[in-house]
Amino acid sequence: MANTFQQIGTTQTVSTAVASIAFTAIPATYTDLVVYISCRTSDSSYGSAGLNLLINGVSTDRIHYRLYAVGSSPGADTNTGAPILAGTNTDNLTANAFGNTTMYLQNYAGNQYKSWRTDNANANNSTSNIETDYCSGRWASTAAITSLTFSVSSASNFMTHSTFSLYGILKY
Amino acid sequence: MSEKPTKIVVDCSTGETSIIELTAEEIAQREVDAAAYAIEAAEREAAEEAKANAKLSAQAKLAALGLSSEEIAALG
Repeated sequence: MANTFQQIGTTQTVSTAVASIAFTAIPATYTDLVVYISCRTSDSSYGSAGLNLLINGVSTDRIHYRLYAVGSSPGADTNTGAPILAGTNTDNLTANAFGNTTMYLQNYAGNQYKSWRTDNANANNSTSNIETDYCSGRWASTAAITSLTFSVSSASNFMTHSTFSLYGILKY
Repeated sequence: MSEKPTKIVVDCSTGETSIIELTAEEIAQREVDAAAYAIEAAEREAAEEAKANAKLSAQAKLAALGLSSEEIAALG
């Protein structure tokens, strides 16, 4: 049971579109990390866009396992080249609608491989084109996590009013 | 000359926020990620299409065997 849930990264409401958002100098004083994300991407090629995570600026030794459903059509995938946290809202979906993603990253400062899980739901005024994702991921490194960088796998931008909030969990 | 993509950096030790241009390495990584994601998206769409086609084919074969549309729908 968590006895501390504290915001350690200032909530960022993006006033201009940006390619990525980075939390740096993350203190090692907590047990776990939680990130709440509400975002929309400028991508117009896809119904959803991959929400990408770079830890400590390292792009290797990463993988994701995902269960997803677009409408009533379920599926699963995995990727080591461009692992993602979720398929979030694009500019193809209903105007001003944002996808929401929650990420839980445990024992981020420990000396074992780092793993996380995410859940995501997109917002869209459609009965058939709404996406839900459940993901787990792993970074095969024993280094303590000191930075998290979020970007869009399709090389588009986070649109205005996208928000990223980083919290620390202290369990003991 | 096109504008360089930017990122927001939040320094958790100071609370300071800055907007800076991506480095050449970050732009290159962005392109690599986009290429990998395009491949993954194409594979995913192809798998979904193949699955939908297989379902239609199976339903047609069941209908040819004499099952009603209600009976085929009951199979899921």
